Amino acid sequence: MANKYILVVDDDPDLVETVAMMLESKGCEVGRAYDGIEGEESIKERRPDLIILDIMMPRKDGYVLCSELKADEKTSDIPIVLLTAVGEAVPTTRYTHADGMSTEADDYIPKPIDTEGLWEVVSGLL
Amino acid sequence: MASQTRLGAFKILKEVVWISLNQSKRDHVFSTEFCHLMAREKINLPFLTCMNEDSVWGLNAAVDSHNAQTVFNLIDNSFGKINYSTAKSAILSVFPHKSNPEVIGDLLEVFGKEGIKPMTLANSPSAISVVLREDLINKASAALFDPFAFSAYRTPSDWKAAQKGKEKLYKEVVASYQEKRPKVYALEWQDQQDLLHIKLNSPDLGKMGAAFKDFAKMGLLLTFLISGLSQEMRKTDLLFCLPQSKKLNYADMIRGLLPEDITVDVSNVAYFSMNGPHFGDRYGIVRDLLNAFVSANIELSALSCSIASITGTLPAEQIHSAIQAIQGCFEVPSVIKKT
Repeated sequence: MANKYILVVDDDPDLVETVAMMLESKGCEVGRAYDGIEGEESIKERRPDLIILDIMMPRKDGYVLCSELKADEKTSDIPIVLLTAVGEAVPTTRYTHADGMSTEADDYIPKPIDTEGLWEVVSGLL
Repeated sequence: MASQTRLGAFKILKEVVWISLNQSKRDHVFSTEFCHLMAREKINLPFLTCMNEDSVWGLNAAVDSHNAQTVFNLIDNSFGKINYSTAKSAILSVFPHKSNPEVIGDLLEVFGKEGIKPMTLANSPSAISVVLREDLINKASAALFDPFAFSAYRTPSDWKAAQKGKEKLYKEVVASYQEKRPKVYALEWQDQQDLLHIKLNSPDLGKMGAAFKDFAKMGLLLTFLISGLSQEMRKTDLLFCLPQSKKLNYADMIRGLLPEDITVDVSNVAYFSMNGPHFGDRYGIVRDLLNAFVSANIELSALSCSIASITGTLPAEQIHSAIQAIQGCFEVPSVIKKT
């Protein structure tokens, strides 16, 4: 997975570092953004190969950013993995996961993040 | 301009009140009792440091300003005559530091140069948080653009434009989590650490910047960091962890850079860090942790809660008991030993 650039967007900088360290240990290059707007700006500056996106964030949440990216033909093909915290629901749009939850994202990962589970999802989408 | 250190971003939490409490006598459960009171009244602690000198605790906390009077009353009613200092404050956090001592070195140097005195500071696994008097926060945020370059904003104006609407949501998010058995996203620990406890004149804190930059040049990683007002008048306690070294004498290195009247104590410790949904500030989390440690006879030497993490140091031989105690009261999917 060398040369793959993954953008992690979460308003918890401690969690961003945890995820970044997991991905960097697998040889990926990792970009970091700390809310939806920063994520959007970062994507304009450099197109990532995959985006890991938190849902509850200030200014622009993960659902809105995900919808916008999937509606834009320049970014619609970038795989997006949503991070979901305790008790958060994933709203129904296009994508349906095995347990019935749906989102426009390509997959989702519940927190706490399991290293192998994260890598299984990410490597499957790259 | 000297070369800048590249960071991701910084954030400021305004409208908090800083409280510094110093015990005058030994009471090994003082910190636990303070956190119990805060949890009982459902008061979040957006920032907390505790340092233990022979069971005499020094605490620095920040609470939302609308809770301040309640907290003062609780302290007066529960601890009797105890000296505490307070000030209207804000918490400035820069990230990610990647355990590089150069970041705190730069920060202390620029604040020293600008005459900005941190009341207390602490690091989390990603961020360094500094509690500053409210009227200094604009000066401090502008000063950051001297030693640091931020990928998210190039100038102080860019940063200001990016802040609209952030704090309200931050507080709402905290209130939305109340699971029965809190989940820890990441529990990490590391042994073979030296905890350095430095007592220095408060205005000399900026001079420690050079020491941290020297540590950075040697490739050392900074795993734990807190500071706060000392029991001794006009002194500051600074505690931090570096890897144990047979070759380097950290105390001598620091004494070479600072005036002679500082004291430096070094002890062998392990540190742990637990990250979870708003673990750095939600009421009840640190109370549960400290209760578990008291029950397991863990002798915590220092602790900090900031951003979304709780980080602490304890005697190295107690780390496995401490991990067990954490697993006993939180859901911990994995434990990572860092090397």
